[in-house]
Amino acid sequence: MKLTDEELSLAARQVCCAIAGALPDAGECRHTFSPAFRRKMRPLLRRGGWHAALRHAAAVLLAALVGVSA
Amino acid sequence: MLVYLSVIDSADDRAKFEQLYRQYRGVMGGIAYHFLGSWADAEDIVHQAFVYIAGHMEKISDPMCIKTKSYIAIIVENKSIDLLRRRQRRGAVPLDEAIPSLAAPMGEEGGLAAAIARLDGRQRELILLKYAYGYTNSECAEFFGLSDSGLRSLDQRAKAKLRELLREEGIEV
Repeated sequence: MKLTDEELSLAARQVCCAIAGALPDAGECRHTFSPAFRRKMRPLLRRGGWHAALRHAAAVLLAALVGVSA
Repeated sequence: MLVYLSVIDSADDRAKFEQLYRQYRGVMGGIAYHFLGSWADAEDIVHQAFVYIAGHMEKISDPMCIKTKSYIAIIVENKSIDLLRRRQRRGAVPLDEAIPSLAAPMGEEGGLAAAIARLDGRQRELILLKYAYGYTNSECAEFFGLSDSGLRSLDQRAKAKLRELLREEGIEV
């Protein structure tokens, strides 16, 4: 047997399935995360919201400027 | 904080990230707690793992698939073991205490998959990231915080150990 990339890839995927299969389902994990954790996560979770809003505002402003200068 | 500024640009990725957060934070906390025995530490690790994931959203195709679940588990395992190792070096945890990897029950199955499952934490993580998740060498080096030569050495050790485990089973490589 040779350790080819194909063999390793096939076997590695089997191991990943075994790892995932041994983990509990999401519903089984009932830990309530602390307010400190939720605070730390907020920038990651909200980043998209205000980032997208900022991009939208910039697009509206640009359209208005183009409209005025035309 | 700078990490946040360059990540999760597309609406698609943001939706995926939120789904990952809702779906897996509990499982991730459970994994980290299994290694560290403290919820405060576990929450730190879960946060670190999400920061890493946010910067690597291209690795997540379907948040709900088994492949994603094990990918996330590997990240949490790696960060938990790193923390334990740092504590061992500082003397806060006994040095001779072995750090067990996440369970990967392979049943009666032998062969290469069973040998990979028996590798220790970092070696197994490297093989899985490279061969199941398509990580390049530079992505692996970044993941483990290793130089190119450090990564090559880890790769060689992992494959040497795999050959040894296979030989023990009577499989010549």
